[in-house]
Amino acid sequence: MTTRRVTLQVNGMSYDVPADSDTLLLDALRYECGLTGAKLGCGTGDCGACTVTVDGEAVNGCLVYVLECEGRSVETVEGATATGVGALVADELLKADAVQCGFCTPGIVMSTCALLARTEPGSARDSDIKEALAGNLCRCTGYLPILKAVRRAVEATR
Amino acid sequence: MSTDNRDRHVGADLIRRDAAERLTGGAVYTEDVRVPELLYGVLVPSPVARGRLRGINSERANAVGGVVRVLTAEDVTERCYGNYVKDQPIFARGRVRFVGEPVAMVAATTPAIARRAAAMVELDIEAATPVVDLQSALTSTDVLVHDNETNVIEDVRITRGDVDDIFTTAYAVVHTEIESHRAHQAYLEPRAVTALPAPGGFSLLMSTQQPFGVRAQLAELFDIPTGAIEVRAPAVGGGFGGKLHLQFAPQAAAMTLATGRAVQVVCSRAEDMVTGNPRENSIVQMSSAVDESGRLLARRCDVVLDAGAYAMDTPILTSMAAFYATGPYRIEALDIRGRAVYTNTCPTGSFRGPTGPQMVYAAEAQIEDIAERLRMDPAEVRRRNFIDVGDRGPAGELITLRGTTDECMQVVESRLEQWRHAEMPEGDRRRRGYGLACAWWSTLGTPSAATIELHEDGTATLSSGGTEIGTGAISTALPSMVAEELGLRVDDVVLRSGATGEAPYDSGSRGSRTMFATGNATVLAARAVADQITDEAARLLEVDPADIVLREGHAQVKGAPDTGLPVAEVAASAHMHSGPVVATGRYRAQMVPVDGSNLERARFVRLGEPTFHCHGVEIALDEETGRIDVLNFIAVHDVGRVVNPVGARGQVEGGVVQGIGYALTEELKTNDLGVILNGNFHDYRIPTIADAPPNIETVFIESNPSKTGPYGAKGLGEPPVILPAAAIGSALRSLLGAQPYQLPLDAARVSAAIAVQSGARPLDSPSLWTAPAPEPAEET
Amino acid sequence: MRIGIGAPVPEVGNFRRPENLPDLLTLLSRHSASALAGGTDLVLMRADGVVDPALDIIDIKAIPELQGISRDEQGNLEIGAATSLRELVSSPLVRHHAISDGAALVGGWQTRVRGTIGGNICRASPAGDTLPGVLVADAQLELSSADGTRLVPAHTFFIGPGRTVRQSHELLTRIVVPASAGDSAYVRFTNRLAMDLAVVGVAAHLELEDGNCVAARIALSAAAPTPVLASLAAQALIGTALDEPSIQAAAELVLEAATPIDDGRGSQVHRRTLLPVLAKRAIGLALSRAREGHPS
Repeated sequence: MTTRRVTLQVNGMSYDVPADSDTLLLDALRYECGLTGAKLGCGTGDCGACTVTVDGEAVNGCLVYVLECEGRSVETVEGATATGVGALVADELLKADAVQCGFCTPGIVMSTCALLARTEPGSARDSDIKEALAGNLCRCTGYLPILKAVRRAVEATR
Repeated sequence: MSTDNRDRHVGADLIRRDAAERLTGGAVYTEDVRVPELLYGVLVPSPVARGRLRGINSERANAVGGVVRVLTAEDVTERCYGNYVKDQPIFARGRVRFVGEPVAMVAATTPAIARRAAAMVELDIEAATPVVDLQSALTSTDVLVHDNETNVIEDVRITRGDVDDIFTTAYAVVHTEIESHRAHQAYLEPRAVTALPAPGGFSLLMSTQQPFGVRAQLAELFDIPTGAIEVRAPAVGGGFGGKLHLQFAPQAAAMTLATGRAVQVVCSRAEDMVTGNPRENSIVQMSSAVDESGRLLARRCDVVLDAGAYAMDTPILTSMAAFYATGPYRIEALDIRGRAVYTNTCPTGSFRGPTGPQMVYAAEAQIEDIAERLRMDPAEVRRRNFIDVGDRGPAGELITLRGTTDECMQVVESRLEQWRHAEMPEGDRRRRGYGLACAWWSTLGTPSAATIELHEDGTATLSSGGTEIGTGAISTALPSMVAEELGLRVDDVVLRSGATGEAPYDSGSRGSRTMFATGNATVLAARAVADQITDEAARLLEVDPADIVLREGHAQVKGAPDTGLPVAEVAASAHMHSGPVVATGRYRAQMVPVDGSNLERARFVRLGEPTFHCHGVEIALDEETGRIDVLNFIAVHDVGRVVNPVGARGQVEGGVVQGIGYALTEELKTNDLGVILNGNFHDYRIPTIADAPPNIETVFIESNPSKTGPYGAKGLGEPPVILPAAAIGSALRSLLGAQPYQLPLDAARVSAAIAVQSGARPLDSPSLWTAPAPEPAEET
Repeated sequence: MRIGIGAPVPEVGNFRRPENLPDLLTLLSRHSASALAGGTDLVLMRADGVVDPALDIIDIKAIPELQGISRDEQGNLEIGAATSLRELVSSPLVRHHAISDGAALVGGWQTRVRGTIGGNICRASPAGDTLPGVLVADAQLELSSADGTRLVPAHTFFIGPGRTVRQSHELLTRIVVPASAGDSAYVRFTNRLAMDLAVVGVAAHLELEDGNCVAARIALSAAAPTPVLASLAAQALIGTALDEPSIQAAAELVLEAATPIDDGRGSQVHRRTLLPVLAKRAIGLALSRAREGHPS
């Protein structure tokens, strides 16, 4: 197909991006929208560094086509941490020293935001947190400070 | 997100200064860099492990719209590069030596075009049988990877005393053998570099752990003055040793020199996994002569490391392996040999604590094998042999610090005792095993420099050559040291680092050296600046400089806090009277004297300042499946004074989980054809949050400060990763009565070991266990 | 050898998102296309060229009939093929079921949000985690095309790794799980506790009457070129009281249906060790579900 232009709603703003059938959401965000917070860690859905939300659900941006996202609401770490729950999650991660190299961090933030959005405030248990974050690999921290920070974020939303 | 900590900086938990930008997506990593007219470079890899490269046809690739240039060996310098042995060409020239070796490179206007065109470059290769197996490459010259007489590229020997004689007369001789596997650093950010044209040379934005090392090697490779190359590390998404090397900087730079345009190379995960420099596989054979009381009298050790197709830094790792063959034990007589061998496989190289995990596994299995032979408690065998102040290390270096391995082990032993008595959850029928491992390591004291300028507004700029790779040592600890020395708020210290153009030399984030060596350089610079300020304040206040203290942004007279002048005012005054307030600190560790050991062909002559460590673990073994789960972990470290406790804990926890991954689930597998079978993140299994142990207790023994490190600190980056495999091996042994010869201790291997032991399956390999059956004849 | 004789610049197919089933089936009947559900496999297969990127993509997620889980009057369970794994896991209609056990184990959260039961089935990976559950449920797979609809028993659907009886103009539209008094479970072995692919997996389905097993099915993943039923093992359970010796004896029999291989994910030897162990555990879990659900 010839490349066409589509409108993508990201972080509450409209972006006009070129896309063909195989254009990935991650590439559109990074190359067209200039939103480089979502990272290309593996490109196969195994690491979660590209996690963004589409209509509130955490997805790997490397496994979603742009053309699937027309008319849907995409949020990236840039938008999520600007206000509200995302800012709270970021602050807890900061305070728990859960950020080292930082490459996995945007994905961790987004998976956590999606978890908080879909669970009753204050209700997520450790097993829920691990289930939500198992798809987000971190090579630096050993995960314990991440777990601690997300627990606190869960508490704080109670 | 204020980072102000008015009272004390050093020794307090520091909030990461660079975390906020990483949390909000604002941090710029190499793959985030966009510059005008950027070209995207994609490498054409060799599909075979060994062969003659007869020709390359890039006509069709060149014809693709958007392709700007295709480079091959024909187009670039014939010089080769390498840290110690210059054996690696920019592009394969005449021969290919491993699957994935760059043969050509395409630059195009989009990544997609470049990838497509790279697949259209036709390679004419006469494939030949590769040598992939380490033992074969060592013992046979049938296949030679390079034009040398053998595949052995490094042969180091450390000898001391009459080992033969002691082995003949000793009460017992115990032999231990292990074989270790390859493991990938698996940093989350794949390797990436952007080369930009610059007058007379080029500059690089590169995900690297040592910009200055990259610059030096590229200057030599391209025959360009060092100063004409700038290397800048943006945010680095993890390194763990995997980003010490040139990576694809030579290819990107060559393309920029050829096209005059900026060129970006971002590895796909698959490319990264097959071209990188994973932890080497190895074979370690170790024998000790012991007396009846368990004292180690003499040790023989033969270590063989697989270098892969190019040497990279394996030559120096070979020396490291030899030096660490004693473990943290006093052994008078030594005969240690370390060799590195070329194979037609992906080149190996540094990975956090290089050679550490297998050397600790071997040395600690050896202790347990000895204890078993002597029917002693392994902890007691250790205790009788720990190295201490006044002893001499393997190179004959005098140990000038108290050895604290015993203190570390006591903490671990008491915790293991608690775990043994804890109640088991109902219905969990897995068997519990308890084990520990001890080790020492050392802090690299290679050169570093830092410049600090105190401005007329009372703020300071720290220019450090150090590179932040995620530990916080550069971004957060260094500014806190400056604040501590100059009596400033941390927020008043601006850091410039990670670029060769902005700061003086530093030898890179490696060898557990960052906090130690860049810290020393920073403190030296800060103290020189403090002297300048103090002198000027003393002149203004008409007091003796010795009576001036720098506190809370003021130069005060001791005992009279109200008398002080703002540092800003003093700095402004200095500008008018004596000159700018600026100083550079330069550091290089002093060498302790060595005596008594004979070193042949070693790449260095002594270890750095020692650190002492003990890890303990509780495992659950599912005997039906062979699965091991880590239930509890304790890591006790003497790394001297801890500058930033929360950051230090992060290093330990992260290192322990990497070490557990190495021990249980991670193995980079190469088949007989030299093809990596699991170059991806689903079959190369780094631990997920579900796999991390529920609890890692971190304990620092701070009673043994370094005499040379900043505030008494020693290095911490590497040690946490080197012990877990040995501790888990020891715990498994407590259940099976022996521990496997081969790493990793994955379920398939453990299951096979259990089957053999229960008699369900015959012992099919004589080397299933670390130690052969005791030979009674030796017990004279 | 010569390599790199790559394809010329590939044409990328069109992207279509039909909003009703007839339109979709008409599109599929004209020329072959990639049916896009969750995309967690398809995106990678197109990128790697395993699936020709010149094929059109037909996004099937807008079709209402392909979504959701419901039970009909006879008690049969109907699962729309584009139902996400996540929905399957959270649905009260398929709680404590081998299919949802398997769905819960696929990838990470991000994968299960996107990935679908139909995609998992049509991918036909020997290691697919929902497939043994589909087999032991004795499910019928509904294949639709512009020509009509046919129901294929799940145990005849898979013919090789990545290969099924589905024709290119057909779409898997529904999974029909017949009403059953039984209970089921799926367990697998992996080296990691998450984000991993099965070394082997076993699903068991049991029906009890008065404490005795009156019907049983057992199926294996990653033990053969396709997911397979282990019929001898299942038969051995029927008529027993599902006491430990009976379960143990049946569990050993799963090896009769297994032809495991050595690959990067596991060795033949380890797989043969694991299969009876997992069979025992799957049967045990299904049994405890049966006893909880039907206290006698």
